[in-house]
Amino acid sequence: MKIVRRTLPAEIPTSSMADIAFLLIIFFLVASFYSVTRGIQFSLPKHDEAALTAEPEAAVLIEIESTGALLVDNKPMQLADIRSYIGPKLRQNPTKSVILQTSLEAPYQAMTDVFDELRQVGVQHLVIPTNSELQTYGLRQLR
Amino acid sequence: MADIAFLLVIFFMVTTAYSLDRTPMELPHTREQQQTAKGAAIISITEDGTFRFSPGEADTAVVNGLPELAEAIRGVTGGNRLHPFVIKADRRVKYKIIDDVLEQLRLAGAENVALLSRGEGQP
Repeated sequence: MKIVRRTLPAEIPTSSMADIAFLLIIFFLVASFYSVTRGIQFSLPKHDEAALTAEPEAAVLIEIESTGALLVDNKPMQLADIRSYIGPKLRQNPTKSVILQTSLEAPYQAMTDVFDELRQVGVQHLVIPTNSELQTYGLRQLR
Repeated sequence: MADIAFLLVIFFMVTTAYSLDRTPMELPHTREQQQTAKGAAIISITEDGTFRFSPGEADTAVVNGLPELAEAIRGVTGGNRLHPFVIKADRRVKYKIIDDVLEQLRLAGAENVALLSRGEGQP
Protein backbone atom coordinates (compact mmCIF):
# COMPACT_ATOMS: atom_id res chain seq x y z
CA MET A 1 0.00 0.00 0.00
CA LYS A 2 1.23 3.42 -0.85
CA ILE A 3 1.50 5.87 2.02
CA VAL A 4 0.42 9.31 1.04
CA ARG A 5 2.48 11.97 2.73
CA ARG A 6 0.77 15.19 3.25
CA THR A 7 3.05 18.16 3.04
CA LEU A 8 2.10 20.84 5.52
CA PRO A 9 2.56 24.39 4.33
CA ALA A 10 5.64 25.83 6.08
CA GLU A 11 4.07 29.21 6.84
CA ILE A 12 2.66 30.88 9.88
CA PRO A 13 -0.86 32.12 9.22
CA THR A 14 -0.64 35.87 9.65
CA SER A 15 -3.93 36.97 8.23
CA SER A 16 -5.47 37.63 11.66
CA MET A 17 -2.40 39.45 12.95
CA ALA A 18 -3.50 42.81 11.57
CA ASP A 19 -6.89 42.41 13.22
CA ILE A 20 -5.32 41.76 16.61
CA ALA A 21 -2.91 44.65 16.15
CA PHE A 22 -5.72 47.04 15.31
CA LEU A 23 -7.67 45.88 18.31
CA LEU A 24 -4.67 46.65 20.50
CA ILE A 25 -4.28 50.05 18.87
CA ILE A 26 -7.86 50.94 19.70
CA PHE A 27 -7.35 49.73 23.26
CA PHE A 28 -4.26 51.86 23.87
CA LEU A 29 -5.80 54.85 22.13
CA VAL A 30 -8.76 54.74 24.48
CA ALA A 31 -6.60 53.99 27.53
CA SER A 32 -4.31 56.96 26.87
CA PHE A 33 -7.32 59.23 26.53
CA TYR A 34 -8.71 58.24 29.92
CA SER A 35 -5.59 58.32 32.07
CA VAL A 36 -5.43 61.51 34.12
CA THR A 37 -1.79 62.37 34.46
CA ARG A 38 -1.77 66.12 34.15
CA GLY A 39 -1.69 68.79 36.80
CA ILE A 40 0.12 71.82 38.13
CA GLN A 41 3.70 71.38 39.12
CA PHE A 42 5.60 73.11 41.86
CA SER A 43 8.79 72.44 43.67
CA LEU A 44 9.03 72.49 47.42
CA PRO A 45 12.08 74.51 48.32
CA LYS A 46 14.42 73.07 50.92
CA HIS A 47 14.52 76.25 52.96
CA ASP A 48 12.31 79.14 52.10
CA GLU A 49 13.23 81.04 55.22
CA ALA A 50 14.56 83.86 53.06
CA ALA A 51 11.30 84.25 51.20
CA LEU A 52 9.18 83.85 54.32
CA THR A 53 11.07 86.42 56.28
CA ALA A 54 11.42 88.76 53.32
CA GLU A 55 10.35 92.35 53.81
CA PRO A 56 6.58 92.64 53.52
CA GLU A 57 7.00 95.02 50.57
CA ALA A 58 9.26 92.58 48.78
CA ALA A 59 6.69 89.86 48.46
CA VAL A 60 3.00 89.81 47.65
CA LEU A 61 1.03 88.07 50.37
CA ILE A 62 -2.13 86.34 49.27
CA GLU A 63 -4.39 84.96 51.96
CA ILE A 64 -7.32 82.70 51.30
CA GLU A 65 -9.91 82.79 54.05
CA SER A 66 -12.06 79.85 55.08
CA THR A 67 -14.94 81.23 53.01
CA GLY A 68 -12.70 81.34 49.95
CA ALA A 69 -12.46 85.14 50.05
CA LEU A 70 -9.10 86.59 49.09
CA LEU A 71 -6.93 89.11 50.88
CA VAL A 72 -4.06 90.38 48.77
CA ASP A 73 -1.61 92.41 50.82
CA ASN A 74 -4.42 92.78 53.39
CA LYS A 75 -6.84 94.19 50.83
CA PRO A 76 -9.93 92.20 49.80
CA MET A 77 -9.77 91.29 46.15
CA GLN A 78 -11.54 89.17 43.56
CA LEU A 79 -9.72 86.29 41.88
CA ALA A 80 -10.06 88.01 38.49
CA ASP A 81 -8.33 91.16 39.80
CA ILE A 82 -5.15 89.35 40.85
CA ARG A 83 -3.80 89.50 37.32
CA SER A 84 -4.02 93.28 37.08
CA TYR A 85 -2.54 93.66 40.56
CA ILE A 86 0.44 91.33 40.19
CA GLY A 87 1.09 91.81 36.47
CA PRO A 88 2.70 95.29 36.77
CA LYS A 89 4.74 94.16 39.79
CA LEU A 90 6.08 91.21 37.80
CA ARG A 91 7.02 93.43 34.88
CA GLN A 92 9.11 95.54 37.25
CA ASN A 93 10.65 92.53 38.96
CA PRO A 94 10.15 89.17 37.22
CA THR A 95 11.45 87.28 40.25
CA LYS A 96 8.93 88.84 42.64
CA SER A 97 7.96 86.38 45.37
CA VAL A 98 4.36 85.59 46.09
CA ILE A 99 3.39 83.96 49.37
CA LEU A 100 0.20 81.95 49.24
CA GLN A 101 -1.35 81.32 52.62
CA THR A 102 -4.53 79.29 52.81
CA SER A 103 -6.90 78.93 55.72
CA LEU A 104 -7.00 75.36 56.98
CA GLU A 105 -10.77 75.37 56.68
CA ALA A 106 -10.84 76.49 53.06
CA PRO A 107 -11.62 73.92 50.37
CA TYR A 108 -8.73 72.64 48.28
CA GLN A 109 -10.30 74.05 45.12
CA ALA A 110 -9.98 77.60 46.49
CA MET A 111 -6.22 77.11 46.79
CA THR A 112 -5.79 75.56 43.33
CA ASP A 113 -7.87 78.36 41.75
CA VAL A 114 -5.44 80.98 43.08
CA PHE A 115 -2.44 78.78 42.30
CA ASP A 116 -3.68 78.38 38.74
CA GLU A 117 -4.26 82.12 38.36
CA LEU A 118 -0.74 82.88 39.64
CA ARG A 119 0.73 80.41 37.16
CA GLN A 120 -1.22 82.09 34.36
CA VAL A 121 0.17 85.47 35.37
CA GLY A 122 3.66 83.97 35.29
CA VAL A 123 4.74 84.03 38.92
CA GLN A 124 7.99 82.08 39.22
CA HIS A 125 8.67 82.43 42.92
CA LEU A 126 5.64 81.04 44.62
CA VAL A 127 5.94 80.18 48.29
CA ILE A 128 3.34 77.98 49.92
CA PRO A 129 4.23 77.88 53.60
CA THR A 130 2.72 75.06 55.61
CA ASN A 131 1.06 75.81 58.91
CA SER A 132 3.89 74.48 61.05
CA GLU A 133 6.38 76.59 59.08
CA LEU A 134 4.30 79.63 59.93
CA GLN A 135 4.44 78.59 63.57
CA THR A 136 8.19 78.10 63.38
CA TYR A 137 8.76 81.56 61.98
CA GLY A 138 6.15 83.12 64.21
CA LEU A 139 3.98 84.34 61.39
CA ARG A 140 0.28 84.95 61.52
CA GLN A 141 -1.78 81.87 60.89
CA LEU A 142 -5.12 81.79 59.22
CA ARG A 143 -7.88 80.04 61.01
CA MET B 1 0.04 46.87 6.96
CA ALA B 2 0.46 44.63 10.00
CA ASP B 3 3.95 46.06 10.48
CA ILE B 4 2.63 49.59 10.66
CA ALA B 5 -0.14 48.47 12.99
CA PHE B 6 2.36 46.85 15.35
CA LEU B 7 4.53 49.93 15.26
CA LEU B 8 1.53 51.96 16.37
CA VAL B 9 0.76 49.40 19.09
CA ILE B 10 4.29 49.77 20.45
CA PHE B 11 3.99 53.55 20.28
CA PHE B 12 0.76 53.65 22.26
CA MET B 13 2.05 51.08 24.74
CA VAL B 14 5.06 53.24 25.49
CA THR B 15 3.22 56.55 25.68
CA THR B 16 0.22 55.35 27.69
CA ALA B 17 0.82 56.15 31.31
CA TYR B 18 -1.29 53.85 33.36
CA SER B 19 -2.99 55.57 36.22
CA LEU B 20 -1.99 53.67 39.31
CA ASP B 21 -4.80 55.17 41.30
CA ARG B 22 -8.27 54.57 40.05
CA THR B 23 -10.08 56.04 43.03
CA PRO B 24 -12.98 58.04 41.65
CA MET B 25 -12.96 61.65 42.81
CA GLU B 26 -13.58 65.18 41.63
CA LEU B 27 -10.23 66.74 40.83
CA PRO B 28 -9.84 70.52 41.04
CA HIS B 29 -10.14 72.35 37.74
CA THR B 30 -7.21 74.39 36.48
CA ARG B 31 -6.39 76.05 33.19
CA GLU B 32 -2.65 75.48 33.60
CA GLN B 33 -1.75 71.87 32.90
CA GLN B 34 1.56 70.10 32.68
CA GLN B 35 2.33 66.47 32.18
CA THR B 36 3.33 64.94 35.49
CA ALA B 37 6.44 62.79 35.73
CA LYS B 38 6.12 59.13 34.90
CA GLY B 39 6.66 56.75 37.79
CA ALA B 40 5.85 59.42 40.36
CA ALA B 41 4.73 58.38 43.83
CA ILE B 42 1.02 59.03 44.21
CA ILE B 43 -0.72 60.35 47.29
CA SER B 44 -4.44 60.12 46.80
CA ILE B 45 -6.84 61.86 49.17
CA THR B 46 -10.57 61.30 48.90
CA GLU B 47 -13.27 63.60 50.19
CA ASP B 48 -13.65 61.65 53.46
CA GLY B 49 -9.94 62.12 54.19
CA THR B 50 -8.77 58.60 53.33
CA PHE B 51 -5.15 58.45 52.20
CA ARG B 52 -3.94 56.08 49.53
CA PHE B 53 -0.28 55.80 48.60
CA SER B 54 1.76 54.26 45.83
CA PRO B 55 5.56 54.54 45.55
CA GLY B 56 5.23 54.65 41.77
CA GLU B 57 5.20 51.09 40.53
CA ALA B 58 2.35 49.30 42.26
CA ASP B 59 -1.28 50.32 42.54
CA THR B 60 -2.26 52.58 45.41
CA ALA B 61 -3.13 51.03 48.75
CA VAL B 62 -5.03 52.53 51.66
CA VAL B 63 -2.81 54.06 54.36
CA ASN B 64 -3.98 54.39 57.95
CA GLY B 65 -3.70 58.01 58.87
CA LEU B 66 -0.98 60.61 58.54
CA PRO B 67 1.83 58.90 60.53
CA GLU B 68 1.75 55.88 58.24
CA LEU B 69 1.67 58.13 55.18
CA ALA B 70 4.66 60.05 56.52
CA GLU B 71 6.50 56.75 56.95
CA ALA B 72 5.71 55.76 53.36
CA ILE B 73 6.88 59.16 52.06
CA ARG B 74 10.16 58.86 53.96
CA GLY B 75 10.59 55.38 52.48
CA VAL B 76 10.57 56.93 49.02
CA THR B 77 12.63 60.06 49.69
CA GLY B 78 15.20 58.02 51.63
CA GLY B 79 16.25 56.41 48.36
CA ASN B 80 15.96 59.45 46.13
CA ARG B 81 15.10 62.96 47.28
CA LEU B 82 14.23 64.05 43.76
CA HIS B 83 11.65 61.31 43.32
CA PRO B 84 8.53 63.04 41.98
CA PHE B 85 5.31 63.07 44.00
CA VAL B 86 1.81 63.60 42.75
CA ILE B 87 -0.98 64.72 45.05
CA LYS B 88 -4.33 63.58 43.76
CA ALA B 89 -6.88 65.14 46.03
CA ASP B 90 -10.59 65.75 45.84
CA ARG B 91 -11.43 69.41 45.26
CA ARG B 92 -13.81 69.48 48.25
CA VAL B 93 -11.20 68.27 50.71
CA LYS B 94 -10.30 70.74 53.48
CA TYR B 95 -6.99 72.52 52.92
CA LYS B 96 -5.83 71.35 56.36
CA ILE B 97 -5.32 67.83 54.99
CA ILE B 98 -3.31 69.12 52.03
CA ASP B 99 -1.31 71.30 54.41
CA ASP B 100 -0.51 68.26 56.60
CA VAL B 101 0.60 66.25 53.58
CA LEU B 102 2.74 69.11 52.24
CA GLU B 103 4.31 69.42 55.68
CA GLN B 104 5.20 65.71 55.69
CA LEU B 105 6.63 66.02 52.17
CA ARG B 106 8.70 69.01 53.26
CA LEU B 107 9.97 67.20 56.35
CA ALA B 108 10.90 64.17 54.24
CA GLY B 109 12.82 66.48 51.90
CA ALA B 110 10.72 65.91 48.79
CA GLU B 111 11.33 68.59 46.20
CA ASN B 112 9.31 67.65 43.19
CA VAL B 113 5.58 67.80 43.83
CA ALA B 114 2.67 68.14 41.45
CA LEU B 115 -1.02 68.65 42.15
CA LEU B 116 -3.18 66.57 39.87
CA SER B 117 -5.97 68.53 38.23
CA ARG B 118 -8.44 68.40 35.44
CA GLY B 119 -8.16 70.88 32.60
CA GLU B 120 -10.97 73.28 31.81
CA GLY B 121 -13.40 71.82 29.33
CA GLN B 122 -12.36 68.25 30.00
CA PRO B 123 -15.01 65.79 31.21
